[in-house]
Amino acid sequence: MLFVEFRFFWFFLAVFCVYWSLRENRSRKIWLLICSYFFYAAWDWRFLFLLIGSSALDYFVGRMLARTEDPRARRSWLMLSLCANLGTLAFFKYFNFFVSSAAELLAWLGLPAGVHTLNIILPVGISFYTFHSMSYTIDVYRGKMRAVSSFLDVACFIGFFPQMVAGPIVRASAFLPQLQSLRKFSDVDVRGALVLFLVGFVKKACIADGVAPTVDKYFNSPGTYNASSAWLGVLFYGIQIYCDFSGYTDMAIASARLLGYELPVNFRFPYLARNVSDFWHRWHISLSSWLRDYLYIPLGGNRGNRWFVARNVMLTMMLGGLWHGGAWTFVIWGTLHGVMLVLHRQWSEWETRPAGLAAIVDWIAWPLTFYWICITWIFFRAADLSHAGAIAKSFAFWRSAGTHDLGLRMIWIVVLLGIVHQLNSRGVFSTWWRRGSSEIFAAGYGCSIALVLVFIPAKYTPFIYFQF
Amino acid sequence: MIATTDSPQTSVSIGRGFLDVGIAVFAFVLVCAGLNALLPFPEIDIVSAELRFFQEHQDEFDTVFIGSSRIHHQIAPAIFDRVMREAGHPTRSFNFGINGMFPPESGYVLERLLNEKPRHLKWVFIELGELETGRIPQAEASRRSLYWHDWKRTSLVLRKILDGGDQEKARDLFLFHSALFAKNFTNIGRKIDLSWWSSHLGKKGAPPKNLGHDGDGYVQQIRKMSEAEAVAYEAGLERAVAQAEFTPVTPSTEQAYRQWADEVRKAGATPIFLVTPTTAQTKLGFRPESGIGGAIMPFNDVKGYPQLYRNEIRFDADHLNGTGAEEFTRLIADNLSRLIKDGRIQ
Repeated sequence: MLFVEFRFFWFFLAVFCVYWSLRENRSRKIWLLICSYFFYAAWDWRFLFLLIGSSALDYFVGRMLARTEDPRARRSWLMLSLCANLGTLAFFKYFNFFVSSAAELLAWLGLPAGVHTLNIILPVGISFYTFHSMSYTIDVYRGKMRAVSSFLDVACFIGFFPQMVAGPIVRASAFLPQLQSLRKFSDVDVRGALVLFLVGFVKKACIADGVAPTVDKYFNSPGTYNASSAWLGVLFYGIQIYCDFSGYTDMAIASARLLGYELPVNFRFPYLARNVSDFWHRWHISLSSWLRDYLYIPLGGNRGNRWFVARNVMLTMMLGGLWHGGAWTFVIWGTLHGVMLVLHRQWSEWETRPAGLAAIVDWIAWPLTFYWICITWIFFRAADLSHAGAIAKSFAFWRSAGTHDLGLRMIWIVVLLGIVHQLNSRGVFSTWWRRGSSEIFAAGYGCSIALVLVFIPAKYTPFIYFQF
Repeated sequence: MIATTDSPQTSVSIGRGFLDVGIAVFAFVLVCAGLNALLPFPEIDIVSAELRFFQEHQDEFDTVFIGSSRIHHQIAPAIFDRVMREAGHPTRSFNFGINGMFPPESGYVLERLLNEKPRHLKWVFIELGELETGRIPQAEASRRSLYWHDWKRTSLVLRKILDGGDQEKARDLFLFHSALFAKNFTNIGRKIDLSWWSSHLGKKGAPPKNLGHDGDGYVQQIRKMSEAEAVAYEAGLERAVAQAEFTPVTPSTEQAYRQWADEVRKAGATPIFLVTPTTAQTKLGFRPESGIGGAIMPFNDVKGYPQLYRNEIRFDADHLNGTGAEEFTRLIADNLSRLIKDGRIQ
């Protein structure tokens, strides 16, 4: 069930009406949990048991951590949780990748091996709910929060339908306290939530799904297209992935807000970033902060010499790339970001850098960062390494053997969206809709939905991040 | 409904909430209806191009044949016009048959034709058949399935589904057609039509690809049935003959044809209902009290028209090839001439 489908509207209407008609927090959580499991089962009911199992295990681990102060025992319980969660993730997501990569390596070494990959279905949202789940046990282990006694709370936190399948990645310490207090409808910014949902819907259903066919056309056979098409295809993909993912997140945050819960902001105008470090404070913020707190800092973080820090950054970004999928293109994507982060760090720490050079770099910071981000998107989207290499060459050197043209005149879409993005970052669109009575807002909202529906494709394209 | 406290302010808030929702829904429905009326006709493969062609030449024709492939591949306007001319009633006809265009889609297209008010239209031959309510898996997600689902057509289809016997199948079909109506009414994905319209402003659209050799809408089928097909066809025909009896169309189908007959008469023409020479031998017709009027020409009669059921003139069990189409067309023209001569039709 996608957020942009009609049936989600009916589903959410039922969830909303029953939720707010219930007076007790416990009843509301039970209702939320039933609805969340129903939402998940609508994808594939078989993997619901995996979700319930993961929730049950981490609840149990949390209870065990609460019962003992013995460091060895606590570490063992934590390891159980991490191994179970990461093991499950590794099996479903990376088994075939590791097997086929090992086989390729053996073949390269002259030791061909018979390879048996499995026909494994990737459970929707496993990367996300696994991270939600681990944040609970890790935070309890670290003493950042106390283990909760109610399985209902843990299950609701892990399975909460707005964020379960594609984020934002929510921390237990931020969300569980919300679950434990009765939400008041009077505290809900209904107008803000509805506008946010509509904005997310437009981003996903109109913009992302609108440019998707052009992106697919290019990336499916890049060798047949000319160099200007490489630029258009890559820029359109940048638009697609941003609008798809941030659009989904907007709808997730809005849905949660309508039920009285706050989810973390996940995007802050990432394409306005002036360096890659800034980009990662603006793009998929919940993932980058999760990786920082649960991977980078435990690895040692900034505490060490420049090589040690570089190692930590590279490992974190490579694993962050791998998190997105079992393919070398994702690893390279993460590596490229890691390299730029290390270089940026060196640049920032270079105390004696020439003022002229600093001024030039400052001047070209934004286009250079944007250009680099586009290069990395090539690896993120391309079908395989050879496609990625060909596209990158075409993009970087404006050279291609292909002659087909996607239609560079469509660049006006990129320019227009860029202007909207910039204006939005300055808050131009953020408050005008708060003026006026609720009746005028309601009428305007109804008209807006009717207009928006004209611009969505008749067929639904799945959210890109669902595949992660 | 919203559980905070039972204060008067809460009741006012709830009431206000319902009012706001009602206003939003009303505004939504109003804008959808307005857009539905204002947006250009959807660009549907074959259908739109042929409609445009007919609209550009509508005053040249006085006779139109409308229906499915059984019209498109079986009625040759050139032959029809020649036979009518020889009988002293010259005509200029057009074949608006489109593959897969069953009622109620054919009725929707017919109304679009008539809305343009062709000035010389005298006779409209409408293929007679039950309203099609089934789902065709390959076509379900297509715009062709969607575009004719306005309230008038959808209500007919839903009525037929509800009148049917199979409850489980009925529920599935009911939801299917309701969803298509909702999609059509809310104009989902109509930006394609806006793009097409804006890019073709002031320009002529591409001519339709299926107008046939003479540009009159008739496309000849050349092949004959194989021996195995012929054997199966004859067996099927024998079974069908055993079940041949008069069956009035279902109430919803009757309502549909009444609407279309009225539209044709309002346009100053005469409706004639045509049953093509298919294997099914059931005598379709209207109840005497239906008030539809109009002649019915039932050619699905192996005893009455054995010449239309010979293997060698059939393309498949339900379609005639070119030779069969010529014969069939002559028979239609002869029937019409006779009806005019007898004063049973103007």
